[in-house]
Amino acid sequence: MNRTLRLVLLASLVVAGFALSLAAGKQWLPWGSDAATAVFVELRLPRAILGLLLGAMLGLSGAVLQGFLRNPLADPAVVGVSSSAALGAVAAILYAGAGSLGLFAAAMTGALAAMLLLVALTWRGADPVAFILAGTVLSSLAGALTAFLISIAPNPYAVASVLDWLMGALTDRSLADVARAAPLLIGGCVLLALAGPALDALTLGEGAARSLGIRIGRIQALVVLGTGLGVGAGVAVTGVIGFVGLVVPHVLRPLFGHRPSALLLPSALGGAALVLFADSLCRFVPGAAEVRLGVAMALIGAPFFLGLLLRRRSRAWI
Amino acid sequence: MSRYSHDPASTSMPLALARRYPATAGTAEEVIARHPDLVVTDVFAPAATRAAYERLGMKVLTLNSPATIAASEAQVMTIADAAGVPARGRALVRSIEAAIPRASGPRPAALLYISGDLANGGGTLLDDLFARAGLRNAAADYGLAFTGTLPIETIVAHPPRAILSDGDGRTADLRRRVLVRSGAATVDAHFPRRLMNCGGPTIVPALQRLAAIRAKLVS
Repeated sequence: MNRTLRLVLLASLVVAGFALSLAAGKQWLPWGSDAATAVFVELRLPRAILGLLLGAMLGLSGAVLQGFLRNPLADPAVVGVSSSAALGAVAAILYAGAGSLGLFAAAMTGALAAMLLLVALTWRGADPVAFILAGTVLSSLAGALTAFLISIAPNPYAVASVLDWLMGALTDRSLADVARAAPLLIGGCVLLALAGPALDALTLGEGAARSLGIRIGRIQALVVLGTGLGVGAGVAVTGVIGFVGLVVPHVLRPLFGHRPSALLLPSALGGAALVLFADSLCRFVPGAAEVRLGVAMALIGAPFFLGLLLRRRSRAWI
Repeated sequence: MSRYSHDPASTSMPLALARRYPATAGTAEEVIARHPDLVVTDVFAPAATRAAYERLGMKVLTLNSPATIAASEAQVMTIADAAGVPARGRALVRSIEAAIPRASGPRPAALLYISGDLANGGGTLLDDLFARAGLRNAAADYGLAFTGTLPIETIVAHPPRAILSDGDGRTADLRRRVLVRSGAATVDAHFPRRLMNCGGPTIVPALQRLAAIRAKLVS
């Protein structure tokens, strides 16, 4: 099967996932009723659009970061932007009782602060190890501050709201959420896609890439800005959803090859399909409440990596 | 006294009264330092903290979270007996019993948001208060076994007669807009947070408020 056919298959999966996301729900309402129209337009359409954009963003950023850092375990969480955006959102929920707009603004402020810190910590050189270390520092710091804020929360109800939000979900997002997040998610994707050719050059090593005219600092800035804007906006509207950026490039690499730029479009499509299908499945679980998407992704991601580990172990002597 | 009693969003007492007493964050050393005659704690307190009380030979009363009016009344008597004032306990129980409305007729479905987007589920004290006040807990109708979040489309498919809350959660505006667009006749009613936190003395004003809301719904 050639690349084009595989891409068409992936795109078909995205279309099927989008249709399923529009059709699936806790409630099956009679088509044409006022309630069904309201649910479709106000709830399921924004949910499906956000699932599509967020999944594409997470898949693409995972592929870009794995290529840029030459590390197959890199994902958007590595740069610390999602933890920092989550910190901003948690502060807003606990101490400002923020609604959707306030929460979005606080999360984006957290993401922006993380981007600035990341640039400040790595501007002297484009060393992947320094980049990962800086991201780890940011992620740990933001995680610790989030835990600290929760521990001194003035009331237990706010803590329950925070924990629910941190689990990540696309439930009950509105067209206003789409309007806020979509430009940043799309902008982030465009910036990351621009890094493609440079990522191919980087597979030859930094020295070789420089000799080919690649400006590593510029690529790093693209990666930081693209991931920051996109992942920050994603966290701001949905909470923290992990594993997509890690799993999707791993699954698609054997099908589309190891050249980083060849993996970008497939990863965006694969990420979108994965999030759309996983979010639809979240609604089929029995009971009144939905399984949170962040939880579902962790339940999919952890066994995937266990399988990967067992496969590698079977090749080794132990 | 718990530090939550000093927070307007968590207290069940008038704040001015609560702030007359020092609050603790619930650590053993804070409590021990005050040499209380009796420590009233709950089953959700850290096991290490409760073990510390035990090691020091303190008099401890460990309570559960009451899920019914009857259980709350029993707790009132347990605390009153432990504090050596059983007569005051009996008086409070009598006032709770007197506040229970003699509701008959329709039982309008109502959904209560206890905080933000957290809906009060079945099997809670508030659920029992709803039932005794002549209301039906819509969350229990939807199958929400415990307090948690409900997707808006579940609410829109079977809209309750009223939604009770003390302020809006993140999705309140969206919920209202979808309900209006779907043609539902759901009304919003205010139910103060201080009536949601505890049982005992707050049961009386909570029942009165619920009875007033029901009276408006059935009139």
